[in-house]
Amino acid sequence: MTALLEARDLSVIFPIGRTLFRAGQSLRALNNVQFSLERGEVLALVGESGCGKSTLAKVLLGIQAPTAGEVFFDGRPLADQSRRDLARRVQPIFQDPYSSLNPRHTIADLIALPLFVRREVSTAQARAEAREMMGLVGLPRRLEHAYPGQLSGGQRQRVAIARALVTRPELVICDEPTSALDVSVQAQILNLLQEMKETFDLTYLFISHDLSTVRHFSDRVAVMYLGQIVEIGATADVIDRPLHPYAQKLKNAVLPADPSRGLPPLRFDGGFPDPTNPPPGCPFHPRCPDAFEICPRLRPDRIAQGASQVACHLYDPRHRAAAPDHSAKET
Amino acid sequence: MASNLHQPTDLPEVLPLSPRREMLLRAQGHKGFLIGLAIVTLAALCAVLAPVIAPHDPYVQDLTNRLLPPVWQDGGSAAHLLGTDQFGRDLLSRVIYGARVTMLVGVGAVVVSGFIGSLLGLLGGYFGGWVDSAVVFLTSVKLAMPGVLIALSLLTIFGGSLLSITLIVGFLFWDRFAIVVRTATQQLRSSDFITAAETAGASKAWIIGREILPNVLNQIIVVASLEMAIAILVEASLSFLGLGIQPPMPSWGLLVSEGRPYLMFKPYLINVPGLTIFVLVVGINLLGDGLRDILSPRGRA
Repeated sequence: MTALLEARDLSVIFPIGRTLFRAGQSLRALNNVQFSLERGEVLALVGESGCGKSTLAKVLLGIQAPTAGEVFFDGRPLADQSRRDLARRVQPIFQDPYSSLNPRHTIADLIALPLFVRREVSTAQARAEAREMMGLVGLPRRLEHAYPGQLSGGQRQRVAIARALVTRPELVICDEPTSALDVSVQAQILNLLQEMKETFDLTYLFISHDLSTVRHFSDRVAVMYLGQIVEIGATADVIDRPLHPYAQKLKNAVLPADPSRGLPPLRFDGGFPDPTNPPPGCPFHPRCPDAFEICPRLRPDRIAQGASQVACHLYDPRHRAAAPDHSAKET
Repeated sequence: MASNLHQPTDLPEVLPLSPRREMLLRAQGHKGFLIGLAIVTLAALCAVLAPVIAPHDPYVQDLTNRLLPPVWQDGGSAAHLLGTDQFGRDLLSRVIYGARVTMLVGVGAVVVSGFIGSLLGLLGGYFGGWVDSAVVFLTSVKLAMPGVLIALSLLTIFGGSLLSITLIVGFLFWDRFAIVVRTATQQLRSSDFITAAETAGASKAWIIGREILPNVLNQIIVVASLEMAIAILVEASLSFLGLGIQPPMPSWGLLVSEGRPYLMFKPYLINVPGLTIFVLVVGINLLGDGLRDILSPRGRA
């Protein structure tokens, strides 16, 4: 069985600061990203701001062309599929429900937008389907003629979910769907997403930086750093027993539920590297506590380690011997 | 199927006011807007109903009743409330008919300039890149041109008529629309709802027309009201200079020009049309300021 979605060696390079008279620089937002997503699976994508999560989402939605590499949807290259066709099968849910709903349209019209655009059903039929979706996502019917400005953040996100699902897509790309919401509402929206997954047999690519949400929600996790996937594997493995030093730092950065334990020690040296001038070799080596002499020189390959894959020289048998305390890293 | 964490759907809940209702409430409490609206409505009514309300034919000359003073001066009569001009034509009727020319030129020029400017602004703001560069270049060229001077020279070439003056003023004053709409569109361009429409498969025309335009319409309306005042002033200036509306058609600027030789002895010939221009322009500006407050209260700096 072919994977629903497969990304092969995706790279995206943005030229920045280029004018008629100046060459400018290039920003490598994605660097040889490779993963696959099975039907019915939830793959979480975690990483700090600026690591390329949202660019990856745009490439998968077909609104940003990759500079190199290919995306296969249901075994066919994304580039060969028409915008309309793809729009029915892949839909996004955005982070900020205040920006993702046009303030000039009514709720029913917002939800029916993908149907209006396709012009396959009449306007009345599209509105009827929108009303049906409102019921499914738990929006009261009387909001049909309301405007987004009259709704709460949680209700707005329900509208966004209803709009994404009205064409019955197969893959939904959720770009931090709960991070703009109150904590009390986050759980409601996550439960709704879970419920919709079961109702409509959905596959989710779930972008987040909240590891506790990810643990609750996803089957597999991919950790991104500076446009690369540095570790990918089953949720329990990646969250609880991370291999890559960056994933370990991420895990340690999660605040404990017990306030008496204080803030976790981070000891991150330096800030996030400049993506226009990435460090040579392994992109994480300037901040890595376990870096050794090969790290600044050679970009690590992805290595299978147990059920996970990790891009780190510490796990590469060719270089492991040179690591300063490799015994501590053996699993 | 709904889990108990879902919001209860059967509870009565007070919704905030709809945007339309909120605007209506704001309009009712805005004095400047109401005064402006009254003045502009009055001028529009005069223009539409001129044949009904004007007491005399504005073109009929009555040489026995030349230069009659208005009713409040000695020698004035109730037959000519504002007096008569040098050919014995009724000034009140000419002012009322003049409202037609003024409103036609004002609205017509704003429709032309609003269409050109908004279209350029939408295209430049949405597409960016070389399209935007072209729009910015055109706007800069336009801003560098002395508008009234070019209108004067074009009018000497094409001759002054209602149509030519409307088109010329329309083609010369679209820059503010372009600048405002372009900036507003750029701000909207990066909104997620635009991306959502793109991923839903909407065409570019759909996105510009259905997603962006409704959001910049308020700004367009506000600019239109202010530009209308400018268009009216430009028409009055051009007509005063003799290059705009040609006699005997009554235009307020032309009335001022025709009264000029009598400035010392019959000042009402200039005062009356001058005052109507002044009041209408103030009214339009009040209306425009009010519209800005009512349509986008959060956009106020």
